[in-house]
Amino acid sequence: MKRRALLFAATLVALYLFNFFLPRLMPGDPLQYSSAVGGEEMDAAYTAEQLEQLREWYGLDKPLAQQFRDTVSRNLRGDWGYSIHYHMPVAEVLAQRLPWTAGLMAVSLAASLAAGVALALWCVRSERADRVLPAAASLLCETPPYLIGLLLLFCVAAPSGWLPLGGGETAFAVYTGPVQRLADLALHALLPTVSLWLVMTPGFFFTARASCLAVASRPYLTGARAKGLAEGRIRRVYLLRNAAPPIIARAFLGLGQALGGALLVENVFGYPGVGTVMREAVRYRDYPMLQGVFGLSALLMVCSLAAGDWINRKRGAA
Amino acid sequence: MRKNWPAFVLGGMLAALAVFFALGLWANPRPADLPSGDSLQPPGAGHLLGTDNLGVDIYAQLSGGFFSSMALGLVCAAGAFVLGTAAGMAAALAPGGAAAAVDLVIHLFLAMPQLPVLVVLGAFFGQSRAVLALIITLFSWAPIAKQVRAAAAAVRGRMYVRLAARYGGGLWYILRAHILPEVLGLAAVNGLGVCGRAILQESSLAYLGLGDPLARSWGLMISKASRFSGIYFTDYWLWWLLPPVLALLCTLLCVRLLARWLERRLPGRATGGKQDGAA
Repeated sequence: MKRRALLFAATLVALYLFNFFLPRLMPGDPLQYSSAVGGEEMDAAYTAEQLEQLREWYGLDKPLAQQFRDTVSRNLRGDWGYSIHYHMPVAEVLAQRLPWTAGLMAVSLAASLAAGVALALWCVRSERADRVLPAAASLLCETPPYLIGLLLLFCVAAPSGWLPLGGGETAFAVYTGPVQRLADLALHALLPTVSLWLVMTPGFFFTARASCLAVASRPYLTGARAKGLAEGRIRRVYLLRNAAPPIIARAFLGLGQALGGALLVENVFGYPGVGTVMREAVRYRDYPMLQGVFGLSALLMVCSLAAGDWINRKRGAA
Repeated sequence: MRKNWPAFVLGGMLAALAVFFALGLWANPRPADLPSGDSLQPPGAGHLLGTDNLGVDIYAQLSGGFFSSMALGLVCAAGAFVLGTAAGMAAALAPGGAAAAVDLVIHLFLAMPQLPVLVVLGAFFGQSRAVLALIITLFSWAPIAKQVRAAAAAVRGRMYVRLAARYGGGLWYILRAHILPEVLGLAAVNGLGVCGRAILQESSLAYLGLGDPLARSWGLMISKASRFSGIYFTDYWLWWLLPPVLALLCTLLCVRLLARWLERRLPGRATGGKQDGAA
């Protein structure tokens, strides 16, 4: 247990170090760059004094250890740097965009969890379903979500006429009430959610199916049947409740994959979440923003892995 | 033979794709990087699959994309195969401290958020295909290493292997004669899986605008087509956007499903990392 916690802490530290050292290991000097590419006509360079001054301003003249200490203390105080493209603190941009991504992921995770479990229960009940569904699921789970998104966008949204092609809400819309606003949000989130949902369901389905099949052969299920309990009650109370922990652990362990998928799918639909920020940051070479996105997703990923691992261990111990 | 039909079907589909795209590269007179006709022509006699907005033949572009994707995927797979096998072996067989260190590194790489890492590295280290292949390789060997580690530890614990060690078989001898033959199949199949993932990751990066802008890549085609203004309101997407998406989808599914199927059929397949390596 302690070992695992240490491992996750070490992972987090390593990712942080990676994020810190990457720009410093890169070839080239940003100050030389910014002095040379100011404009088409301009070929004036900074003087030695100006360079000195800028270095001092950015703290680049200090020893590496000192720079690292400063960065850590700044980051801990919530200062993640300043985005070049958005002209805003990185933390602020992320705080604005995170709810969109989090909402997208939460809804699609919940939906695929429900669908996966329902399909698995159906498989346990019906042999015919069990012959078809696993093959279909393995086909689906190897499909990258952004391609599904693209197909949905062009084959469903574009011809439909009423599904929005992109964005998170209708621009300049005036809502008469919260219900209308919610409907607008839901309509925009529909296709991104569906493309993530389609890809994530098979994972839950396989886990739930394996877990249910493992539980289904336990003696207490035979006992419950012998008592004459209704099949529905047996499935809900005896089967599902005992089969649940691995499925929930899977939700956390699969979050990394879901995150990658969500970041790409957002770009397909122009959804205003962290993924589009990432693409913009790439396009404008907004390195502080990019590092912020990376730091946030690393944090999220390691935490969810640790949570999934913890659930798995607890189950092993119980 | 009858039980192996999925492999034949998938392999056959891959071969068919390869032949189709080889024809597009060598039997098709249109170049893949120069305009050869009017822009945005629908599929027809002059251009079998039509042209894009610059008048470049789409069949030729698709064909180039197939071989460059495959080459990248195979290079990454080979790299991940070598790295993963070596690291997994080291984690299973090296003495005490070293093994723990390798194990830690494996777990570090397993816990990385793949796409953001690739995006950050791609943005920082430029866009040549060689660099891209290197980066993808560096971030895809860890799952192989984990599997190899478990399998190697399991084999090492078996009676006959311990007996061989008692008879004076050195570490290298045991590695060569007993462990490698059992582990290589597993690593190779997982390498094939990496090939599929690498193709996907390259296309994702290209879609995000991080690919080599000069390469013939499906991701780049998709990205360009979907950013073309008016793509939603015209029929252009039918022959400009859909083919690369479908080609990517078909290739990926064939490779990944083949890898999956082979993995399930591996003899004496080691399950997970449950075996105790302290034999």
